[in-house]
Amino acid sequence: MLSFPFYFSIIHLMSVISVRDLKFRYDEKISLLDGISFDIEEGDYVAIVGRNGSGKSTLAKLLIGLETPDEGTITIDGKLLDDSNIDQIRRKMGIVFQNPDNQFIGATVRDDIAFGLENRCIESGEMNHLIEKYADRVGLVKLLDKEPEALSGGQKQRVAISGVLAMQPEIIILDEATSMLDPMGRRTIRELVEALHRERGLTIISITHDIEEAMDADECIVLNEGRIYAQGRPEEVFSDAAGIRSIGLDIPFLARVREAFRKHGIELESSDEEKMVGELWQLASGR
Amino acid sequence: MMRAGFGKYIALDSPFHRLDPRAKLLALVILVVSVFIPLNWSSYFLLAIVVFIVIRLSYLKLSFVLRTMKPLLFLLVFLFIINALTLKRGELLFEWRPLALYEDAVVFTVRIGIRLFLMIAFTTCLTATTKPLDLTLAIEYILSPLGIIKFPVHEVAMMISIALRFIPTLSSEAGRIMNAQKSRGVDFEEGRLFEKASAILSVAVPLFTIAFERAYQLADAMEARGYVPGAERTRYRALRYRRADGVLLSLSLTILVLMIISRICL
Amino acid sequence: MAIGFRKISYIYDADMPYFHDALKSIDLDIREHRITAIIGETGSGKSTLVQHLNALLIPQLGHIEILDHVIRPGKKNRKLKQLRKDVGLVFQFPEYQLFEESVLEDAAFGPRSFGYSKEEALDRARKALASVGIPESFFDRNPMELSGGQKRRVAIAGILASDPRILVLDEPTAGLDPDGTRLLLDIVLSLNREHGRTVIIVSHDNDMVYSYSDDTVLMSNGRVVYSGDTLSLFNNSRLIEENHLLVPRIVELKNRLREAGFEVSPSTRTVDELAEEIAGEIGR
Repeated sequence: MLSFPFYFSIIHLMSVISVRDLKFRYDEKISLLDGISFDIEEGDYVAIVGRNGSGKSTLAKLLIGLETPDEGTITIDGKLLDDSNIDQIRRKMGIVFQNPDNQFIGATVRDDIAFGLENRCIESGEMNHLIEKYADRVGLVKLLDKEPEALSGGQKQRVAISGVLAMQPEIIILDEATSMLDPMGRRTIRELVEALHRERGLTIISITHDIEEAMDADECIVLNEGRIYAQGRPEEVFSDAAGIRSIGLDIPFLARVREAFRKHGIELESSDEEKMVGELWQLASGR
Repeated sequence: MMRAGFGKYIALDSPFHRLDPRAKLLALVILVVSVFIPLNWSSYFLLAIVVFIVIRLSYLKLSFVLRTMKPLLFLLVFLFIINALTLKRGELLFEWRPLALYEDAVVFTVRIGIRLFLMIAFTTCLTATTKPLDLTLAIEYILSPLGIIKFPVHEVAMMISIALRFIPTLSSEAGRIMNAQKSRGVDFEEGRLFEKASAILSVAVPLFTIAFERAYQLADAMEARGYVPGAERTRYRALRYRRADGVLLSLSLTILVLMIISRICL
Repeated sequence: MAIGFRKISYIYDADMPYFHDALKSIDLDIREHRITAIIGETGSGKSTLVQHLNALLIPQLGHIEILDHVIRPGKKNRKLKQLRKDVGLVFQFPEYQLFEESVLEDAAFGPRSFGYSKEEALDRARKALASVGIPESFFDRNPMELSGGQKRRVAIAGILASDPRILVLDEPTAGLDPDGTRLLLDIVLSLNREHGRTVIIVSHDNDMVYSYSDDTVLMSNGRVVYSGDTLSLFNNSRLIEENHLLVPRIVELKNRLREAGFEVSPSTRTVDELAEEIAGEIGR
């Protein structure tokens, strides 16, 4: 019988991101992360949810090495993240932040997408091809020469995603990338992210407090007060309505519908609106 | 649309607009130096012709360039008065006891006026035909030898270009904050000194707060995208010298030489 | 009527070749003591309209009756300060307007500007802060130390402290997490239901509009396309289609249930009400 450490190390090798006992203190009194451990497999779309102050934004910064944990380890693609290899590891990752203006560096869309390429010392001639290709992927070719002031929040976030894609990362982190957008903008970004996940098998980590967005993911990690409150498939995690509400989050619309019907003695099984209506009709005509 | 504005970029597609910003910047420096060398009227005349040619080649309106001189007029009048009272050499031109106007005073003032006009005209042609970002690139390129004494030329240029990118953003944010404070009863037009100071603070403090928060977030974004200050990086916007740039520079140098000669010989 | 727009037109940069007519001869009434939502795409004229409510913008044509004020074109409008006190306008991301050294001082800034004495202003500020759930222990703190949601409530308190009769909120829940959103909407609701204040909310969030507002004004291209009861608007499929409105989730569900053969009342607003109705039908 092979020992536990052996299995442990195998899992370690398969996961693209491994976090162990991560702790991060803001000062002596306030602990933002209080011992987090989880694994993310290659190609997963993981949502990390929690209210403001749950530690989720800190986690994003730690994963991309913008902050150093006080305790614990982060392993990316088998390599332990530390100061010596942070630049190397960052080449595999891209991050989109929350504020569309405060990550838009270039004077125009083109220049902003080029920024990351310039840092990688890509040849000037090659850059144009990459810029056009990835601007096209996010639907911004017509806006390439526009200045940021002329763009909406959703468009600016698409520029950020385009800039990230141009670096061809394996892992994309979205740090509340939709929370400052209007519903239309949020929908555009959600659809884009889902499409990218499907097409390219990228590992996507989406940090959000938007529950409907979290439902898009394969797996959900719920944080509360710096610890993991729950982990698993979104439908499972959000089925505990009372618990989720107690930590300052809301449950998805369909879960609320199910909950409301439960009060009237009707248990609905479907996770899809169309099927739910069908179930209700069955019940109605069955009588 | 061509409102007078010293330093304002006008988007047109003139031969001058298409020149390399480095060449334009160097040419400007050379030409401005040339303006201050000669002392005779024929040299100034030649320089004036050059200026008019440059203005035409930039597709700018003469009225636009002249309008940038308006604030100068006041200065010149003031200068004239001072010179009239202090310079008492040359022919006596006009007398109205106890004041006396001598030739030198007039000549001196006119000379300064012409030089200032030429200098501002040349500079306006540069700023009107060159985007601020391109100008920054030009300055960065020209100052890059300073890297030898460890002056962070590229980092400073990066900071300037980011600052330029955020000018319109900060401007609209200031407008929004003003509206928010007006809605709280702030009057930006009337009021005693104390009220005015309070009004300014109510916009300045938020703007600074926004700017600092922005700086932190930008730094994170830049670092996450692989920016390392001091490290090598390529440029998307590559500046390339063309023949026309060489022509501009040689002509400028020629003019400089001519002015030096005219000073020595005449 | 709290507010009446009479043939209001507003043109940006009227003397420039690139002028933009943002409001085209608008006639609109907004009722007192109700929660009215103003919706429409970006560029529909919502923010221009809203900035007329406290005379940040003056119309070029027409006139506006707001409570006992009348705003006409030209520079002769007087007593604007009084208007700005009566109509409290809270902009999007209002936390950015905080600038005083302490939470209490900032909340008192509005009343001070409107002419109240220092003591009265502080007193009003204390009450306003309490009404938005900011505890006394926060009063002496620097506003910048607070969380985003707390700062927002301080900013709103700053407007409430001047006791406006009409409260206008532009995207009040933008960027807030579910808890923050719920808290804020509860405050808005109580301001209207308990204190009778007229509330106007500009929003892109049609789910929130459907659940919370009594009336809705739909704008498109500088004109008012619909002004009336919220429920009637979202039950009107033609208007929804023509204006590309995002349908609130509950309305979508109601439509599906109707298509499947259920009878669904048009006035059902919440999930609980809907479940009760459908469960009742199933039971029969």
